[in-house]
Amino acid sequence: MDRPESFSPVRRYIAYVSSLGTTQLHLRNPFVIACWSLAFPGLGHLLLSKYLRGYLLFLWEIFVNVNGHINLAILYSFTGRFQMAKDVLDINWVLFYIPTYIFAVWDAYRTTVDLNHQYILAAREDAEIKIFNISSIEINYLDKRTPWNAAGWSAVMPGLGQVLIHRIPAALFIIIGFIAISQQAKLLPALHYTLLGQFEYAKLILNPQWFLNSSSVYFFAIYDAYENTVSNNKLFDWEQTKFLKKNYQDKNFNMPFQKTDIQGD
Amino acid sequence: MYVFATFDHSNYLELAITAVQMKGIAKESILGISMDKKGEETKLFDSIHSSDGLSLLDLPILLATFFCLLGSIYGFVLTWGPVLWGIIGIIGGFSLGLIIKLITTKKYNNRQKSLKSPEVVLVIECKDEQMEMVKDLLWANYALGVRKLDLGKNE
Repeated sequence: MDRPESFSPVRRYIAYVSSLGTTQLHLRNPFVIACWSLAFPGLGHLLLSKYLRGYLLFLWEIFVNVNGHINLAILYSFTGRFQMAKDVLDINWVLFYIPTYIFAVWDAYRTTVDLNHQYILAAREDAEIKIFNISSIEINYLDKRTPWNAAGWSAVMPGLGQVLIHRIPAALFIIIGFIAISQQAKLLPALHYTLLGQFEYAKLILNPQWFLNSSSVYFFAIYDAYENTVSNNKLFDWEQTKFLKKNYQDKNFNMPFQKTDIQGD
Repeated sequence: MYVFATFDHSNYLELAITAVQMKGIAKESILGISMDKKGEETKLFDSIHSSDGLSLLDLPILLATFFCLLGSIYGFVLTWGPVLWGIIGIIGGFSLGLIIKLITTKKYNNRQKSLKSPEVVLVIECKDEQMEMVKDLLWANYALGVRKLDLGKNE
């Protein structure tokens, strides 16, 4: 009902407005998406709205990283404590990490290139989309929103910007994920004692294994909210332009200037 | 009698059009034209009505993420601790990214400061006595500008 019928000649369309959110294709820089997957596997896929693949890679990263103590090893290596890094790594897990990590980055890059092609083809086909969806559990429609507003809400609480622009699969995942990570990391108590100037105590209670995950997820939430608000606004303009062209450019419109014969009658 | 109005793309535009139609003005007497945007490539910051066309935020926020990570790591061996060094990393990374982006953008794009221009032009044909009503409806739905067309007899 919300998508072209199966017998419709439409092959590709650039957006789908459903109860769970507005999903759209648009041109993205594959290096930017790959960088997000470099920061945290799965984030690149979430940006592309490929949620299931994103969830899978994200949860895999958490699981293997925690069991293999990858973050601790990174921390010790970067601070020159190489023997500690060697000791902390769990050889029962470490080798799982590397291939999947590289796959996540490469796949994010490759998928972006593919989706850009799909977008170009869909844009050339220029099929109409449905912009309004009302169902028993939600109402979703295209609208214009201020990008910095969405980014700001995700900055005070990761995931709220995604709620604002109605990206429910991202919002749920970010909210649950960020709360879980900050609880394990003791992020808020560490922030509390840092602000009170008790730096040593803050260092002591902070769990580095989990803390090192928090920054990627936090900035991802801000970027994802901002970027998707911009794209949704563009989609709105595109759709309204099509609407005006179809409905309010009647060939019988009485133009104000009648051609008068310059020669006189 | 004609009324011209300019709008930005928004739901108010459709509210205005439908309100005018409900007052008995035929659909065929309403002309709506979206403008192609020339200035789209030249805006620095995204707003509700336009995107910057150059993704200003991409690099700063990526660098903020990576520098925050580095700050958090070295914070464990520095006095101020990982939280403060993380925040320092954020500010440093974001500023660095912004500076790089601004410099490279200036280099490759001789941007002019373009003022935001209206996105849609609406032309409505109506009778003399309907004109005030039409103008009021357009203003009430946040038209950027409204003006009736005077086709005086040029003699």
